[in-house]
Parts: sequence; C-alpha cells; structure tokens
Amino acid sequence: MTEPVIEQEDPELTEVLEGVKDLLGYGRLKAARELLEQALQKYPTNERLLKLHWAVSPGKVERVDVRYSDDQANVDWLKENWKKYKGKWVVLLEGRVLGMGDDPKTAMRIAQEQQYEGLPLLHHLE
Amino acid sequence: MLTLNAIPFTTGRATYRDFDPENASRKQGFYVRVAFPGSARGGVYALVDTGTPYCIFNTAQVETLGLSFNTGERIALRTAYGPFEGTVQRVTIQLIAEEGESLNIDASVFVAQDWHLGNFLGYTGFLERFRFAIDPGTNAFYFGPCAL
Repeated sequence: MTEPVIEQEDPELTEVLEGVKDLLGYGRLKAARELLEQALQKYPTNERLLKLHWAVSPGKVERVDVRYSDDQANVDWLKENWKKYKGKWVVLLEGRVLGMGDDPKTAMRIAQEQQYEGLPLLHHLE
Repeated sequence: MLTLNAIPFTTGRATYRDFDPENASRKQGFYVRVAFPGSARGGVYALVDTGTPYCIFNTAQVETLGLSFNTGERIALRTAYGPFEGTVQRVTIQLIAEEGESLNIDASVFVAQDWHLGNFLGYTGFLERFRFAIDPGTNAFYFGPCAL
C-alpha cells in the first residue's frame, strides 16, 4: 500500500480536508492556507493537500513587455449593438467583428479562421 | 508610470470602464480587461471586487480556456446569490497594459460548475497580490508588482 492511500484513510486528515474546504467555501483563503501549511508538516506528500495549497498560494507576479491598444472601438461597438445581438457571443478587434455565435467556442472558432494581430475581446451580449 | 517618493510605484496603465460592457443595466463598477497567457482566446472584462475572495468567470468562458470544474476538490462557495459548487484552481491572469508593461499574476480562481453572474477579480485570490491605483478623472487603472 502506498503512503498517500494510508494518509487518505486517516480520520484526522479527512477532518483537515473538510475544514479546509469549509473555509474555502466561506472564501477564507488565508485561514485555509494556514491550515494546509500546518497539515503539510504532518502529511508532506499528500497530493490532495499539496494541490489545494498550490491553488490558494500567491504564486508569481511577473512584468511582461506586452501592451495592447485602447479598447474604445470595441466598447463603442458593444454600446451600439448589444440590443441587436442580445444573447450572442462576439469576438471583436478594434471595433470589427471577427466572430459571432451562440457560444464562446463557436465565436472563437470563426475568429481564428481569420488572420489578425492583436488581442481580440471575447464578449457575451447579455 | 506612477512614482511614490520618487520611487517607481506602478509599471502599467490601462483604461477601466465604469459600467459592464456586457450589460449596461448590470451593476455599475470598475471593470478592467484581462487575458489568459498561453491561451489563444481573447481578453475579457471583469469587475474589480474587493468583497469577493476569488476570481470567478462565467462558466462558458472558463470552458474555452480548457478549465474544468471537475479538477480538484469540490467546494460549495457561499455567496449572496446562494451556494455554487466548483473547485479552486491556480490560473495565470494577465492585466493588460495600454502603456508600460502588462502583468502576469498567479490567481486563485473559483471554477464554478454553473456561473452566469459575470466576471469578477477578487481580493484575497488576486487583488492583494500586486499594487494598483485608480484615477477616476481619466478612468486610468495603474498597476505593478509589490516589489520593484
């Protein structure tokens, strides 16, 4: 029997996992992270604890030398057209429709069939 | 970019919208454009919400990123709209700069099974991980890493 299976059967571990999930359900990420860090001292290889800890830890913040143009043309298009195309998903680039559909996958698929440079805006016209 | 006591404070600037471009009748607020690095998908607008712990995106949009609510421990998130089932996942979110540099931030995202209430950028899982400032006079959103 491998170690993680033994740990999963540990009632104390089950209690910790339920406690963490309960805290996360209330949005208490810091308290959940602290509880996970305490539990990981006792169960350092437990995959469930490690994955939860990874998900709630701050991780990296990185500067990237990337920028995009002002989105005003897209916003203007949305203001003018949201009633007309209500319910649709639309992909816009500089005020131009690249794709439209009943779901985001369809709208993106149509957009990706075209050649464009830049970051399009994916939007649901509610 | 902004400085504080002659020391750089932020590294990027973007325009924020004070209405939801998806739905003008929805909650007024402070919406910024974000993207997901490594994904060919487009940018989306999300509400900056210090009252929300996680980032949450509409389920249909999350699915286009290849994220599944089935990945990870199931959690019942209690909200003002009732409980929502989903999982907490780490996702890199890019704050899009129009001037200066964009910022890639590892965020704690709640991937809900069924969420159609809009896109949110939450506090503990995202906003407290970088510096930001706003100028309501110009709708400018300034941001940068905590350590410069």
